[in-house]
Amino acid sequence: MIRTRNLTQRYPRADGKPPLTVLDGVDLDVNSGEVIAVLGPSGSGKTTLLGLLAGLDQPSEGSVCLDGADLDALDEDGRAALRAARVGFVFQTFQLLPTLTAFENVLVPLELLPADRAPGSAEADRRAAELLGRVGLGDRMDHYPAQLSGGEQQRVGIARAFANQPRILFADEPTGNLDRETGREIADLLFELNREIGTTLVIVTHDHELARRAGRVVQLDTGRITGDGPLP
Amino acid sequence: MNGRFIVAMARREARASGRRLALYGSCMALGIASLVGVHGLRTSVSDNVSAQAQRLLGADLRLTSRAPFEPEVEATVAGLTEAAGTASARITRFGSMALAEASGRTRLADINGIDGPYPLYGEIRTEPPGLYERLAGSEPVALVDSSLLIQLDATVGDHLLLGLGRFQVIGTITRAPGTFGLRTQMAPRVFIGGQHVEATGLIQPGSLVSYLLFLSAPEALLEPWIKTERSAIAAARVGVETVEEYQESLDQSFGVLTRYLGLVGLAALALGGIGVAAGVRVFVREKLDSVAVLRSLGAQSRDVLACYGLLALLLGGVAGCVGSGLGVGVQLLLPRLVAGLLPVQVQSGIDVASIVTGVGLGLWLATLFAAGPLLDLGRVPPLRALRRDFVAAPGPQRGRALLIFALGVSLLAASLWQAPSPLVGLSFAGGLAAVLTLLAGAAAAAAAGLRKLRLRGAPYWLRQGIANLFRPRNHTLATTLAIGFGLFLVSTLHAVQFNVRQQFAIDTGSDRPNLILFDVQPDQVAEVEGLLEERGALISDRAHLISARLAGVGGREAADWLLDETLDKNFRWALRREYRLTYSDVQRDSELIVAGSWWQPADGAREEPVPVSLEAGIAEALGVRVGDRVSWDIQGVRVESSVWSLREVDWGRFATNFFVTFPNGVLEEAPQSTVLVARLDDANARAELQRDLVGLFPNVSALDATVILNALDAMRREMNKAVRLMAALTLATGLVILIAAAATARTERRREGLLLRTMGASSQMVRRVMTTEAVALAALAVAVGTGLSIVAAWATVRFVFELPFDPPAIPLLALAAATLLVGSVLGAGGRADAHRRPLAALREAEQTGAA
Repeated sequence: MIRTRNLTQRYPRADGKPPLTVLDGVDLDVNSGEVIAVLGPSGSGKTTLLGLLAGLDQPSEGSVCLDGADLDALDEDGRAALRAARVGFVFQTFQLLPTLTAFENVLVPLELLPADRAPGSAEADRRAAELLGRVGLGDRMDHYPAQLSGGEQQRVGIARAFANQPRILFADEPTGNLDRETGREIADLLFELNREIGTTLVIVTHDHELARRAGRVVQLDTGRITGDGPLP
Repeated sequence: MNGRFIVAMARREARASGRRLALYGSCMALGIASLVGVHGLRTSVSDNVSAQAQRLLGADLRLTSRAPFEPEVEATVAGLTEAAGTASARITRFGSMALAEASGRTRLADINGIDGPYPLYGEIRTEPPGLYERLAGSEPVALVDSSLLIQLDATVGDHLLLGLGRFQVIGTITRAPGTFGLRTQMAPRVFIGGQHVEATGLIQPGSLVSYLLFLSAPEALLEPWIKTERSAIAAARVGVETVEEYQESLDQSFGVLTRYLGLVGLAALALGGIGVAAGVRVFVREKLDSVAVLRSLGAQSRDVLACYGLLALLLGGVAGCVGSGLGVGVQLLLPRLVAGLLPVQVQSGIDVASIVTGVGLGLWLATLFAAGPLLDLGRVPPLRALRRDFVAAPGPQRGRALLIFALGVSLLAASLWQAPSPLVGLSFAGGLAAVLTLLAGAAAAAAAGLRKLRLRGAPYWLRQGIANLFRPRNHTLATTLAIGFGLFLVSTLHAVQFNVRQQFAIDTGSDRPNLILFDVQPDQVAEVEGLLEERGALISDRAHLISARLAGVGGREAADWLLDETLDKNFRWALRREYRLTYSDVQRDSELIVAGSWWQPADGAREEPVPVSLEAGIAEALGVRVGDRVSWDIQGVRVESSVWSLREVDWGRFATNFFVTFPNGVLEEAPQSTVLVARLDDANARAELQRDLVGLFPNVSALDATVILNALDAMRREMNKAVRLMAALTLATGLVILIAAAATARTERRREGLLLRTMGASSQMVRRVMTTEAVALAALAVAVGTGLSIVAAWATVRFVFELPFDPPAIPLLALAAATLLVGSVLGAGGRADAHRRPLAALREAEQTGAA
């Protein structure tokens, strides 16, 4: 499902110093339906890796193959089309669109699907309502993000991530902005839905407890993979 | 393109931000309203002129001459009327003093001696009705403009003395072809029967008389007749004016006024556009995160652009519709404000074409102004959804450059379309760009200067408030443009008007003449001067007037030149006109030699070619330079002259000015009259003098400076109403932008204020910070706007009106203070978030992306 070779990301520095290497020659293979956690301390390159795997950024060196598509060969709009069709996202800061209701936030990925895969309006509405009901917000569909708690917002985020029935889902510190109890509930929901739908799931986190729930943990430190396998 | 996504997202954004976008759009609404209003007025006037042109002219064709028509012309005209089977009518028109017998008051009036069935189209309405036909009778009666009766303190039934004639006023004229509005105040009309003109004894050699001949004929006869006879008639120095030409001249003269008004409206529109761009820029900043999320979810950049492009169209639509709606109000109001200046009676009405134009213009310009900032949304990197501080490298600037180019071209095209001439349009667009650039430059310089200012010892609120002027997301540029430009326009208009009016005041000041006597015959000069001196009047100037025509120029006879139908309009006018020559060996103080030199008394006088001095403008119209030969027909005697000098004449002075001056010793024997210029301070004494002059010397006309000034003042007041309305719309546009900017600032500064509150700052402290920023911004804008307006007013007064500049300090300071107050109150009011509970507001700010 995902294959990276020699994935490297460097950022130039303004003060004439050599570029800052954030990711350094990462080789990674993720199989279809696999659930992996990328674990590492702050500054280890986790989010950079996630951005590159999802095609949100372009690497300085190396390659990423996502669901059979070579991201290098695609331009930004090509990568966007790939994301719309096959990728879902859960963000640490929820990233709901503040001017849209919970229901409309979940509708957006359905509206972004290519015409041949896009459901009709009624079907899209039904699917969005079903997902919101599935995450326990069936009675809050018309609420705006500002009217929801952090946990509720992340539930909407999860419903949105699954709306387009993605083949792969990226979650960036999905519980990072939540208290322990709410975080656990959100993680339960995420894993549960993932099991039901059979999506490949990549979770980026520094939370060992959350990482342990994934079948495989890729440990990252200073831009390099330092471990790959289940956590003890 | 994903149409479903684009429309759905645009609809949702419009729901969430529609009111805000509508507020930005309304920044342009007042500018559009001005243009729609002015265009509506222009169209109404043009339509009415077009519909009434024949009645306004009173004929199909009008011939005008300064001398009785020559037999050849009379014969040609007779041929036409005979063939057409129609009648002709004539007016003998001249200026004369009218003396009201009962009140003893006098006034220079426009006397019209009517012969024949004038007007051939339309009618002359009188009060009481149906009196016009009585002019043709043997009884000497007159119909007058009601303004004359007021000025003479006379009533219907009183007698008027016109020269040697005594006429009973039988009624007033309520409608007649040709003259309108304030023009009757400048020279009120008196209509008498043509058969009584001779009895007035006012037509004498040298008198200024116009002979008008009105004709009607079917087009099939008239057109070929004009084609065949026009050049021969013109060669006889007779002006020919068809209905179409008359209509065109009316349209043109009124069009100039509306076009200047339109330019003020265009300035408001440009200012509004800047408001739109400034508002949308902030809107875009707030949308960056949302767009990054959309991009990470798979939205393509062109879909995002299309979605926000739709919103820009919505904004433009609001601007166009609200502006046109307000424009309808202006359309209804303007004709009432400038009624006195209109050549026709115009009913207030709604002009659909100008409304459609307004909506289109609003849609186009507002969309262009909004689209610039919106382009940034097409370049939002999806990675920003993960890293908020991630900023993409600047993308290609081609789209932005194209937009700026389209905006520039659109504004330039609008200026050229609106302006009375291409030069004015170009100057206006250039001036507008220069002022906006200077305002923007001043804002940037002030921000840079404040950044270097060390305020370490100052209280926190002062440092923080001042720092807000140069910190990121400041509103220094938007506010300086909004307040500064509005104030600039109003202050400049005021300062220019003040100086022009003051110049008039100087000219009628204690050392200036205020009375001019015309048509004093040679044998009357000594007696008239004696009377003036007896009444305490100080005679400051006397000049001899000799009527003449141009016989030839550039080695060719004037009549030959006039046969050429392709002749330049100004050249034709200069060839045809009747000249009032004077002679003197002394150069006048008010005149400046710009080429050649003044003659000495002995220089070539009495020998042809005689040296002459020409006014520079008429020399340009005739295409002559120093050393060229000009031939004159001085009442039948041909005189050859050589141009010795060109003079610049100050026509604005209440004094005698001449196009052509001869030396002494040439024209003394020609039939002539004298003009006397005098000063008599006491208004009552002046009125009595004029009354006695009319009694003793009926042919002498007196022009009182105060009468002219009053008439000019009335005209100026009428113009001012319209100009002030337009300036007010511009200032109001500035205020709308200010309100929009204040609302934006509130959103932007909200989190900062709330953080201060959270950290323990009192609501008073937060308010002080916000107020300091608002006052400092308003002060900067007021200082820059006023400063620039003084420079612009100085340049206009000095170089356009060629007058000395005197800044009206107190009104300008008052205007600046009022703007500062309003700007500060509006600005500070928009930032009032100080009393909200920090926690609730902080959460809201987080959610709306205002942080």
